[in-house]
Amino acid sequence: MIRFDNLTKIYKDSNTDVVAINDLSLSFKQGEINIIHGKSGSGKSTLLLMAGGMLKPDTGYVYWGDNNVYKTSSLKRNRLRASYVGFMFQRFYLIPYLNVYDNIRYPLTLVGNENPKKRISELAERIGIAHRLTHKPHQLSIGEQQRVALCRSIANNPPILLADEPTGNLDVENSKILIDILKEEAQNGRYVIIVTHDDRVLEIGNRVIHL
Amino acid sequence: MLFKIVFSQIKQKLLVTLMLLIAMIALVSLYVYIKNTSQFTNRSMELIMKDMGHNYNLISKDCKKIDSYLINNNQVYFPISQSDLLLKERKMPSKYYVAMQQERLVVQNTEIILSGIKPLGGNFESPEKRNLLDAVKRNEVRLGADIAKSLNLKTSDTINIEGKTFKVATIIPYNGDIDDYRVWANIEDTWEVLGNKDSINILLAFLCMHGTNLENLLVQQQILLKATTPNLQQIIKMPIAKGRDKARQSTNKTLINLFYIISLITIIVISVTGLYEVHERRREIGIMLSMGTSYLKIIAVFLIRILLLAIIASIIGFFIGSFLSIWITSSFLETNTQNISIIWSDFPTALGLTSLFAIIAQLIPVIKMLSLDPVRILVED
Ligand SMILES: Nc1ncnc2c1ncn2[C@@H]1O[C@H](COP(=O)(O)OP(=O)(O)OP(=O)(O)O)[C@@H](O)[C@H]1O
Ligand SMILES: [Mg+2]
Repeated sequence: MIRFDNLTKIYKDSNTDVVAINDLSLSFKQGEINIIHGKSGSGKSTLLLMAGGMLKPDTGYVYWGDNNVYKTSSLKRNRLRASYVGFMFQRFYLIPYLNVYDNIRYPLTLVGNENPKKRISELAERIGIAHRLTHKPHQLSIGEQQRVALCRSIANNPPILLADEPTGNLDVENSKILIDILKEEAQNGRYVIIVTHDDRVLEIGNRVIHL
Repeated sequence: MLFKIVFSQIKQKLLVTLMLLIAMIALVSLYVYIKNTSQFTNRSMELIMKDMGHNYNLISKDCKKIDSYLINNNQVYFPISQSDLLLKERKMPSKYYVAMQQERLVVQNTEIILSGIKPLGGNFESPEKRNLLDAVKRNEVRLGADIAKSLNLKTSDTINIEGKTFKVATIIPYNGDIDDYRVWANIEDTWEVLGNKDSINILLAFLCMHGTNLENLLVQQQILLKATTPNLQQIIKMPIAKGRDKARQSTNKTLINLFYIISLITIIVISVTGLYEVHERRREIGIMLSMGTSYLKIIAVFLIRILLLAIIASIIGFFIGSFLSIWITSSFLETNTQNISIIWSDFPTALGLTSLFAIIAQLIPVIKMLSLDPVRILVED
């Protein structure tokens, strides 16, 4: 479902070129949790952004299913992303003026599902924020916000789930809740790729990729 | 969802949105107010000008102007049929004429100017486009104020002029000129009294003169007259027409410049607010784009919101501007052809232009937004 072919990304500057990713090819198995590991500056975030269709590699290809991501127009890429990829940022980035319900609903409307009540209450129930649906993001704790962000990224049932340091801001307890959900999501048949420093997340990985 | 986002954004930034709305309302109000006021003033000027009387008179080419001014016995008669030539000439700026026979007489030791008139020209088109004088009925007269006073006459009294008896139909209020000494009658009656049947010694007309260049127009007029009725010469009293033309031009010029200034301010206010907003919302925009939202949808949010504000601002601004102009001018301006009231026909223009400028102005922040790279925004901090 997701595959990297000879990816290279070089950040070019006037003085120095930074080689963030060098000729990397990877394929992934359905239902597996893939952990990307490496020291700071090794290009983990860069790789994830390229995987998510948000950063064009200098050479090489990213595939979502049969779609060569960077060979399609940006308009089509946007549409594909809405149905193929769920992306979690370290800083969740919820939309501040929409309540929890609408934050989760938003990606669903992008694929034409305007009234996904059942799906949202199901999801909210599972991650324990069902009673907070009418609240705005700023009324939630950090852990709750990250759970909403996770909910949002999987609301569409995207086959691919990408997460950059999903537990980076969380305490032990919230991390555990989140890790459990990620595990479940993988078992439900998603392709999961996580960038992390967190040892507890490392533990649940089926495969660790060192950069 | 689109409208939900629009309204949620408005709610989130209520104060900024309100300020923007108020600024837009103020600009629309100001323009509507000034436009209405100048239109009412212009109409009022027209009435004042007409009250000053005929400004375009035609006399025989063989008559010295001074003889006509003094209304003495050296005035030269010409056939009334000359006016047919003028009426037939479509290019003449006046479609209405008053044929007049005027002579000085003494009645009961009082000097009068007997003025037999016949209004000429088609049916009155509108209150504005019509003869300044109405016909006088046979055997009736209208009296100038000084004559009525000297002869001690009231309405319905009778007066004998050269053996013919007339009934006083109206007494005209003081005018402060020679008209106060006129006795207006039907021209058929004056022909009976004074002779010279089917002849007149002056044709009265009225020119509005709203041409682009007044001087030019007068020259054209002279040429046209020469071709149409070579036996006549024109006497033009133009200061009022010129004054009105100048007033009209200066309001037009003021309005057009005001329009540019207001449009520019509107565009700047909206653009700056919009740029600020794009900056404030760059992360939200980034996250939406990263989720696969099309640029089109994000642009739509911006445009729908500004359009909404433009519609509200033009409605409220239109009414504020209209009421303000009515309230201020109605106490002292008098108009005939247009009431001092809301000019509804201006509303679509106000709505259309405000919306158009709002959208144009919003395109600047939209273009700025299009240059946003979602990744750059989301990883920069
Ligand atoms: N926009 C950029 N311009 C220039 N260099 C960049 C840019 N973005 C990243 N880099 C460089 O590319 C390298 C890889 O960056 P990346 O963010 O992928 O690292 P990372 O593995 O995610 O690090 P961390 O663990 O600290 O988040 C780093 O050396 C970084 O400085
Ligand atoms: Mg990183």
